[in-house]
Amino acid sequence: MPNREALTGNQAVAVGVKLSRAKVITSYPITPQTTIVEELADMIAAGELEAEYVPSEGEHGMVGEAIGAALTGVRTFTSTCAQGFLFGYENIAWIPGVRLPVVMAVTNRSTAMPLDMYCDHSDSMSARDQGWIQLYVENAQEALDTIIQAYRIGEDQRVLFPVMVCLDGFFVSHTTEMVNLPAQEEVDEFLPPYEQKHIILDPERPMEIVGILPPERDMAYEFLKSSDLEKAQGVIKEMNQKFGEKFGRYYGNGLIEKINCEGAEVAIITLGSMTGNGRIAVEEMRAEGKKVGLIRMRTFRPFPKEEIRALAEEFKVLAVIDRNLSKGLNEGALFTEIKSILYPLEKRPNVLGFISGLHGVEIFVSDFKYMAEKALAVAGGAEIEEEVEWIPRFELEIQEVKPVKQERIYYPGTTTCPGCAMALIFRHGLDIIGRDIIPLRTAGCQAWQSSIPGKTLLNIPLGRSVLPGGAACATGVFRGLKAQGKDQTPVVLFGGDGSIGDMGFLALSGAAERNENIIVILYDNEAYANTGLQRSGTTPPWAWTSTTPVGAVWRGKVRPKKDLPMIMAAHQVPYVATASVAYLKDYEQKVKKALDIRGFRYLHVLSPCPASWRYPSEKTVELGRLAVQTGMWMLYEMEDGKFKLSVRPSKLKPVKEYLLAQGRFNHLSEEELASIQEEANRRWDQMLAWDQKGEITP
Amino acid sequence: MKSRVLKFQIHLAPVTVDLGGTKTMAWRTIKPIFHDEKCSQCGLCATFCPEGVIFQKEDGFFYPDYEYCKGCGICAVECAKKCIEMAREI
Repeated sequence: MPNREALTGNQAVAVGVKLSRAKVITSYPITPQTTIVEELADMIAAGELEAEYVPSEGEHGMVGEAIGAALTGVRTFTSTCAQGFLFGYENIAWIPGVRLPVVMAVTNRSTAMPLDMYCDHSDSMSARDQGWIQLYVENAQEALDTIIQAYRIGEDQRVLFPVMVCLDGFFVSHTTEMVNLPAQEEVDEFLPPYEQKHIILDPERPMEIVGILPPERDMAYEFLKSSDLEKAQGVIKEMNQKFGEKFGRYYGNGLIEKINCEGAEVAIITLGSMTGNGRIAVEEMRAEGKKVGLIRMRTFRPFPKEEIRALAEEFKVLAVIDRNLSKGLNEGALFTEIKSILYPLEKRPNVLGFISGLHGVEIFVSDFKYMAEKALAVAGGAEIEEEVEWIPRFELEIQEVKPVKQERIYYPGTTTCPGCAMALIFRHGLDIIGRDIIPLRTAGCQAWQSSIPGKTLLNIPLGRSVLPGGAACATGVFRGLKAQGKDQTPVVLFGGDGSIGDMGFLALSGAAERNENIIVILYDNEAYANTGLQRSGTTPPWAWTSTTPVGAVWRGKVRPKKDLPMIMAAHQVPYVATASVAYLKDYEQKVKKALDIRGFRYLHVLSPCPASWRYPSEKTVELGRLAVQTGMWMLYEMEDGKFKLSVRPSKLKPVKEYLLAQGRFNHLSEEELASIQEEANRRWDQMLAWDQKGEITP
Repeated sequence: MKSRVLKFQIHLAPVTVDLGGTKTMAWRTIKPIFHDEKCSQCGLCATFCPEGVIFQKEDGFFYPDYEYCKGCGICAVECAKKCIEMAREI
């Protein structure tokens, strides 16, 4: 009996990584990829997988870390999608040129704007020309198997390219299926240890990674990349065959999979999970005697030219579905490329293009039948009405935007979690600042502030930025206003610790250093709460998060909480203050003060989070208070560098009272609690000394 | 065979001026019951309601908008007089 388990696509990827014995895993959460790296963190925490795990500050760093690791010759895994993919793009584009066989899972998701979390292939398709091998899988089983194959292919001395294993976001990543688990010994036989010779950072083998060669040499490298990548087709086929012989599962010939094609006159060409509905449609149509077949492209790079050209002999019409779109060409990559491959042939089939499934739109069985009927009609001699057709079709009426100022600025009906402190911080901040402002928010929990798609809870302008771009966007908004003589309008950036403080720190630090005239209000829930409780820079030490789980090997986060307010103070900006959701009067006074100052103003507000801190929702304010009363969070302000404590408890309560009220700390031993107490005391004494002097001293 | 057609009225860019929130009453398993007889009208409940859906009546007492209340229970914990009771919804 094979070992079978019910796994989601993402779990299957994680199992594949474990079975492949990856030694370095670099991670950053993004829906729908997150559960891959959570699963891997759990495995490491429990001692089931021995690997270095880097919970990165962003995808740019994440892919950079993967490069660094791979440069030492170690088997490396990373994963992302969508905005994360785009943020990591500089490093993604870099890897093929240094020929590092990194494997990256891409849980395909659309790219903004418009922003959503659903599946299409815009992310990975954007990098199709960079030199990665791209394998698109159909289901969880194939995801697991393809991760193992990806290492075997990428590490082959005839190949040496990075491999993207693309699985459709949600459709595959979050769907649970029965998956056969290969035995570790068998995987070890299939996937031998990897030895890297062509590029390595190793004192025993000194070499320099060079740049800016003469143009001819650099162009030669491009030629080498492209021709070697084309040749990798042979290895992909070979490994598909060898894998099949060993494990009994084949994915077409590794490059394409032909389904129900015998005697067919027309074929539908698919990529990814949509193939499932295609299978049903084709089967039903075959039962009706219709000559329709299905072809799934599994390998998109290198492009299987010969396989596609061979289809010209077999089919009168090819109907190509693209879950991606080249705007301004109105074609998808698959359609464009298939046409271009067929062009030199004398006998060419007609090729019909269909754009469908963008931003997670379902491609129904009925849609497949519609496309097949169109193709059959053309095969029967009908004229091609449209070279590229959208499914569904859109009939749009463009409406003028007609804003109307209402009396109230804040309306009820958020979809933030019950007991969310962020909602309180946002609302009370707005109460003070008033309506004549321009607030901006980054992606994150704050996104749930507007709830029904297409509706708003605010009768004020509300901008939004990408996750790392908050302070940059705010800077631009202020400069734009200033250029128009409207520089009295306050620009206020609201955002979380993960977005503004970790991934967006570059923009934050830049804006602070330039003393941009903006107010930054950071709600610190000490985690990436929106993606489901991963650790961030401001997660306190010892805390459980889904990427610092507690197990036989791990005991939560090991590093201290990143002291962002002090880091911002070191930028010598006019105003820095901390606040807590439990001390709203204090918070409101600080917002008021910030409003009266010009230049860069930074407010860091502790924002207890029932979901990630693991406590009942009614305790949000209580915990915000206990944090201050135990010295785990201190309220102070620094105006032009002058330090002043705002709340000074006469005697601190034991930190236990605060910590043990939260599930994320319930694994702590007495010893560990004592060490936290000691650190809190030390910090409190330091604060008191600073308060007395009115300035920060070493 | 006809293709699927979707008709929308949309703005040129993804913006909205359409006010409206989600009625989250179905999220609740417990709900706050306000016992006015003990209430000192301090307003802490309204201040700390994350949703901003506790309002003051003309007589000075407070009431929650049950269409939006998520039943988080913060008002009951923060109430100075402990006159808000969290009762099972069903």
